[in-house]
Amino acid sequence: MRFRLVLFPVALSLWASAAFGAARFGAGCQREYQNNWQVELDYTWNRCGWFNDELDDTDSKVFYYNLHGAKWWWETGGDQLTLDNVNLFYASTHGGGWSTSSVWAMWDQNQLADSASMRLGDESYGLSIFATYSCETLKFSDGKMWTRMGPIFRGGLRFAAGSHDKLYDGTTTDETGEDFADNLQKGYTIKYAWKDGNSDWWTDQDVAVMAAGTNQANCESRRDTMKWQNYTSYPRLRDNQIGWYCYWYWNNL
Amino acid sequence: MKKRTGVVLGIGLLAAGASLLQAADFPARRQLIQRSLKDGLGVQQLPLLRVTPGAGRQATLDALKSRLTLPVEKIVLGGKAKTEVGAKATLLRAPGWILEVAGDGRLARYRNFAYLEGAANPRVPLASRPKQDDLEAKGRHFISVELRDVVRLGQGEELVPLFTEYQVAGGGSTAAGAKPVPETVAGANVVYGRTIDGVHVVGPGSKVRILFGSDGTIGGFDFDWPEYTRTGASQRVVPVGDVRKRVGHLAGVDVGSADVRVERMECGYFDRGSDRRDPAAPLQSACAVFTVQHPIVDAAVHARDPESGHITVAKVSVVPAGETVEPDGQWDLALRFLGRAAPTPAMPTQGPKPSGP
Repeated sequence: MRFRLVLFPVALSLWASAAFGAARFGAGCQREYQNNWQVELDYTWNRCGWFNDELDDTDSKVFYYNLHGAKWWWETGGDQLTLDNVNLFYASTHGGGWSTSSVWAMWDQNQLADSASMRLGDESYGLSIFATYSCETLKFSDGKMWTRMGPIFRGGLRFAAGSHDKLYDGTTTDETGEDFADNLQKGYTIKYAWKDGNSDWWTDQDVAVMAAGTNQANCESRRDTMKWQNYTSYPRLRDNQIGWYCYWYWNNL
Repeated sequence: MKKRTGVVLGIGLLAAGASLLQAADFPARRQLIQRSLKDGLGVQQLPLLRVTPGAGRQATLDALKSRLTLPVEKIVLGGKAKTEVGAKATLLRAPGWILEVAGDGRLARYRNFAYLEGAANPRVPLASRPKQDDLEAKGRHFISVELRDVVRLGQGEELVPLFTEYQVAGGGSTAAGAKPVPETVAGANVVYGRTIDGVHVVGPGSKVRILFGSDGTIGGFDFDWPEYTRTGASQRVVPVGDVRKRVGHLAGVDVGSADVRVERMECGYFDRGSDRRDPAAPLQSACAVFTVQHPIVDAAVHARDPESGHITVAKVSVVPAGETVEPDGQWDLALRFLGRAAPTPAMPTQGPKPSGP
């Protein structure tokens, strides 16, 4: 019964997407946290709301959810209804890079979405671009980036955007989602759309992106040339098809 | 300040010191940070400023095109370019490059992607990256010559280099036990700011960024460069101790807490940038405090592995530093100081719930 309820809107929106050529996107964001278990991110609603408003001008917003009870739909149990039901997913919440997984804070106390339990790109529409305004989730400095992000990419995800260290929450970074969306619409590569969207030329934003490929050249080509307008031309790579991961970041050295 | 459970890794710092300074900061930014931490703005009173309206996007486009009639480094504006006029920006673009001018013409961005992402910009080992002092000198020359019609300095104003950022690529085999390959550098940015009678303009406004390839060739730029005039009014500035209290009262960040590490502090005129500025509000004093926390969110995991079990929290709190504060509809903490509410954005709804038992 549940499948029937889910499949009907999916089939309908597949038809609509094909007919009108607009891509599908969703957002999952959180400002305050249950019992104040995490520091409030005061500018999240602006960041995500304006992202939606901008990208909605050209593409189809499928959902905009808070992160109440969201762990299950970030992870494999329910992602076919949410993250894998869109082409691009944008999020803003706290993050962390652990030795074996990347984590994203949910509203619910002590609840974290865990990359080890995520596999994106293999259900429903299949997510292609996973962009999270969260600290550390694309950390690479310990050589364990693939350990953390590999489970997600093995489902066929094409591109991840995030941070290897810090992304600041503040009044001068509340428009970063809107700017990212605007750059995507203008035909920037996703890499530059993320970089230029998240930089306000003043705050030291630790911006990073990541892709996977069959080998080094293939990975770097996907990382450096993929756009919102052409990402479907890059074949999905799953499981053992992936032989290389690659990243790009901007930093003080 | 919101209460939070858990152990915290961070050690509180609020002393001026080298540990707070980034290696890529230029001396002007280091001095700004040290002075801000110690003395706030370092002045007792500040003349209020107003932004004069720009001449429009087309005027900026014309100024850049007339100056850059021939390619300079990898800044190319000639050839068969198309103009697209949008609600927020005007774009001039040809295959491989794009020039955007936004707002009233004070905000612009140029990228030669064909160069920055092409074979003509090969990656180099980290140790061979261009030196930041060389980049700074080259960028400054470019600004003073090629951007002189749009990046103008008024009386008492100076262009000051703030920091360098490098673009670094890396990766590795996904095979078990494989080590990452050595990282390479494909480019760099130098960001410049402005001082007015020695007082920095903090925030996104009054900034120029020059983009370089891996050999130091210029391949792009940004600027958000308004012109300011004095309003005739002035504002007395509170001591730095009061600024710290305001960070707590207005932004909810306790900079005296051992949980909170102050990464940087910058005080000066606050200009939030051309695309978000309240045209009716003057430029006034502010301090921006950058803080980081590393709360432990899973104590059991952290006990087994000190590199795990945490999250990272990074905030920038821009608080007004004047004894009195002028209304600014685009600055939430100034409004909060005045007891006014900022607009409430749209809220998301709750997502799906699992079905079944």
